[in-house]
Amino acid sequence: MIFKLLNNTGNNVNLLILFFILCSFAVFISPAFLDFDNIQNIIRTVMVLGIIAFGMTMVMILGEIDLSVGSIAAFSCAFGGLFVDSNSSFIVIILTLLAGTFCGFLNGIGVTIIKVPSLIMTLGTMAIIRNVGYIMTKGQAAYPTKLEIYMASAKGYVGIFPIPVIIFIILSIVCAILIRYSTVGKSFYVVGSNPVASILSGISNNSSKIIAFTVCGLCCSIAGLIQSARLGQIDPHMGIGWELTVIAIAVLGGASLYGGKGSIEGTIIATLIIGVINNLLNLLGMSNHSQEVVIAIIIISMVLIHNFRKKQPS
Amino acid sequence: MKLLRNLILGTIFLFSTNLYAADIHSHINNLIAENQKGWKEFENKELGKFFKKDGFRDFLDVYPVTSLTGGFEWKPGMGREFEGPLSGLPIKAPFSDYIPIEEGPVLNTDKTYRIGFVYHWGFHPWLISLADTAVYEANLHANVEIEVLDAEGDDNKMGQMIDDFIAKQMDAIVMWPAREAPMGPPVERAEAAGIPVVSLDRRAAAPNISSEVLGNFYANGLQQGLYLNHVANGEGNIVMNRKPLGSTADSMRSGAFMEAIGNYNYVISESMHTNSSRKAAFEATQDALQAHDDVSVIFNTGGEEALGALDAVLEANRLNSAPGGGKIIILVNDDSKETVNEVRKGNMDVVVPYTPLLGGIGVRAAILHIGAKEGLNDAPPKQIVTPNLPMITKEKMVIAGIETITPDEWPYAYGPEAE
Amino acid sequence: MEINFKKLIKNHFLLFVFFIICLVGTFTSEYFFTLINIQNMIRNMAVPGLLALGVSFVFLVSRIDLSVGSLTIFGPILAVSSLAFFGDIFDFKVLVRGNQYAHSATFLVVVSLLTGILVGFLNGVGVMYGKITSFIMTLAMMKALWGLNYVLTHGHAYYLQIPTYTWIGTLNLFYIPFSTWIYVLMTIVAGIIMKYTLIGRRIYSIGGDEKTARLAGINVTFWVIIAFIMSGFCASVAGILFSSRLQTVDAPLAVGFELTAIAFAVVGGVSLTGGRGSPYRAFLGTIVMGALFSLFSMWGLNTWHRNIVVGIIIILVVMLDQRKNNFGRI
Repeated sequence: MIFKLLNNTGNNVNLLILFFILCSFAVFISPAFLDFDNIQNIIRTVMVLGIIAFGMTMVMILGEIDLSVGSIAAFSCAFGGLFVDSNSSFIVIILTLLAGTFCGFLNGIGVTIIKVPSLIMTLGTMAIIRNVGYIMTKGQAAYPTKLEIYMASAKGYVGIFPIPVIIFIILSIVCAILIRYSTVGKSFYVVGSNPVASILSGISNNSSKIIAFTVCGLCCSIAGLIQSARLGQIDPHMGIGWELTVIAIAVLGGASLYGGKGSIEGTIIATLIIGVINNLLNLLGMSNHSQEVVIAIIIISMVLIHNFRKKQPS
Repeated sequence: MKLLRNLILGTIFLFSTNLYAADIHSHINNLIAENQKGWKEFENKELGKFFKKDGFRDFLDVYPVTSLTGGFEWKPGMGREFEGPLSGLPIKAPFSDYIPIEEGPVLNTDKTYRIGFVYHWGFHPWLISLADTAVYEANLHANVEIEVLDAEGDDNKMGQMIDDFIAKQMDAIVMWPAREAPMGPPVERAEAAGIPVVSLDRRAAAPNISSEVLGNFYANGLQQGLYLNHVANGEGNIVMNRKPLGSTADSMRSGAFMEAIGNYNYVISESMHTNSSRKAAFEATQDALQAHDDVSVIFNTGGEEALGALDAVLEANRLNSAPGGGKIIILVNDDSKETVNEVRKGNMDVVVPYTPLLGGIGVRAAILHIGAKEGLNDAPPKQIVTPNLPMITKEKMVIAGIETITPDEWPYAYGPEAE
Repeated sequence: MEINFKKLIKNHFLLFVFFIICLVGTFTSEYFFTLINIQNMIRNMAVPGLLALGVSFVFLVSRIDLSVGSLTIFGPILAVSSLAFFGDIFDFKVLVRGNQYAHSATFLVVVSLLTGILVGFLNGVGVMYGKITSFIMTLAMMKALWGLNYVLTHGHAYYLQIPTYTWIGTLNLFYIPFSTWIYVLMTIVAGIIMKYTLIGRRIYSIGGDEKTARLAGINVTFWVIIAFIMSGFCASVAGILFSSRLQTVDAPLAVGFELTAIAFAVVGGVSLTGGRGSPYRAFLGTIVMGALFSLFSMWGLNTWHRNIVVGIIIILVVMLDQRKNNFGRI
């Protein structure tokens, strides 16, 4: 167990090195990179996916996967958005978070009690949840611009620090502590790497998985909420394609699809790396599409380097 | 040469039967003709090269610039008010009297006529309003049924939906093609099967299509350019938020815009394709602002793009960051209630309407085509242009002979209420 | 001879489901059992069916292939754009006014197929030699191809309206669309390969228990790469059928096809963990979903409702399958 934690640290060190190399490169290309505004922008843009990546990391540590993250974000915000006319930020926010948590819970039940493999379960819920959202809202966006607290989650400031950045930092710390130090969190690793042993040692695989999926759903709703506030529009169409990018971030951060590996710290650094890369490519004037190619190459390279350094026998 | 052409045009204008009441429509058509130029004729060579690269000429050349069908004369204020059947939003549709069909059962009253309506992205305010007007029109006639399908941006799926309509022997098809090329074959198949097809707004690459209802793409880009020339003294650094490359919507507006500004000293700082997505435009504009600190104009080919761009500008506190401390000029088309409100607030400078409330025209054209097949009436023309609409600005102005409209004078804005 | 009906139904459950759906369609819609609709239905099955077939090979060796969607159109796009590139250098006309492809159809087909094989090969190499998880490798490949599609086409569509190519999408032989012939033929060939040849035996061994297979001296690396190549090949054939019907290739097309392919294969009973399944199973999944889609079209079911039903069905079918076979964890 300690060995595994050490392994993660090794990976995280690699990531940090990559991160600093990238940042130096970026500063060299464009000194504007280190502007407070620019750094803010990077975090604001990438944090939406980053928050979801926290949840995805937990799910992946358990050896499962969640393809429905984009749909949960869209649905939960759309659901909350139905109540915009109540003029109460609290109602909308609470309902959004509850909806996301509930969806995550559903995924968890499907995977554990009904025993549908997570790839299939979340493939199915991906379609179901999103379209339920469309039907509920008749496909119409809602506009939360009058809800001050809601909007503040993306546009507000505490001193010079933008609130979304603060939210991101707090969530990172909370998730990291949860995984590393709480009984529940630590059990994720055991369940993920050795399910038989975990059962024997009294850890319930099912409850670990349900918790992970539920937390992931909650993360999706938080991310969707911030995105909606940022755009001033609750779009039931949001989140399409997020799942694959989030998984890529989690894997970059050290998570494995077979379970047992991954860390929140790694995910945080991976998120920032992707953010920096995106920003760098934009500053270089590369079109969106060329960027996809570059990011694909980078992901492959990172994994190759990681494998090379670990030299794992198959 | 140019003088001669203008003389001829002026004479035609003078003797045109539509002279009196279709003033704004013909006037804008004349301006379009005046501004048409190939890339070599641009005095600004850089702009000329850009114009050539994106192949605008091909689209602009084939776009019909003609008078309205049936001698229709449109004035602001005309049109019907109702609640959108799909979205539940209040709508005032400007063209409900264009190519009119009386309420109540149509054609052969013993028959039920089934119309297949296929489009994309029913969550987009512009598109749902399009569908709203189509369904409303169908509902006015008891013996007309309409089936609305959303192909969710998948051209292949839209093609399959059209094939299904053929299999179900629908009486007519009304469609909104996202891109011209892939929609050609399915439309041709439908026409070959005897089913009249009417396209709305964007065009399909199908020579045998029964009718195309065309919006003001040309007038959009042109008026955005004319406005810019009027307020910017022929200088500026432009960031462009465009729709997908190769779509009618993008090529026509961007191309017409380029034609209008082609002789002046503008510089295109960025040309980005943000594809009707508020989020994509937000992020792209943010990056553009980061990369260029001398942006003075943002040109948008759509309402959602413009709103995303505006959000980025406001978040970065760059609204008044044009060189010399002036405001960044934001040019918009698509008169959603949100964008019109932004003009009222002074954030956006001009909104050129591109109304989605065309669905009704399409359905009426389709019904008339069915009737023509049954020998009950004449077929409507193949190209049905809609009246050119004047631009909306905060204060009334006169630009190139066009009297602009203020936000409060414009009742046709679509979509949900803005704050 | 006694026919054990229960067993018959259990083993070929989905075939019966298919017929039931068709029956329901015939009775609930006057247009379902018409020549033109049946043709539409079986033609529409060809492209996703081929993708499901390809993906099932990879599933059988416990891997996944997410790149099939982008690969579908990448083949023709690479063919056209590379030829246009050489056309510019060596001064022969490839594209005429308005991006119409005006050159050889054979070239288009051959290069597309080769591209599929090459991309499959690259996927396999990445997974086996680079030791990159197939999910990540094929995800990255998918993203790369998606980006390349845009870059190579400069965002424009290529029209492929040459009669020597479009016949693939429009020809009907004995009333059956050519695409369907290709799909069925390839399924049969694949089935024969999997059941009666060495390739099949090796793949099943690897899928059943990779460690044991390796210990038994099977060259796992080689066979897994073969599986990926077969997947890439199927995707490129699908791409030819697809683009000839639409008479266009355009970068934004074929989005999400990989998830559909996976769903079809899984509904048919191809296991994600390897070792269970066959081309016949992928075929069953395809015809069931294809018939369902056609039924929904005839009913005029709203897109949103349709998607929800599809999602529910995917979950249900796998759930029922689970009960029968007691899957292990993924």
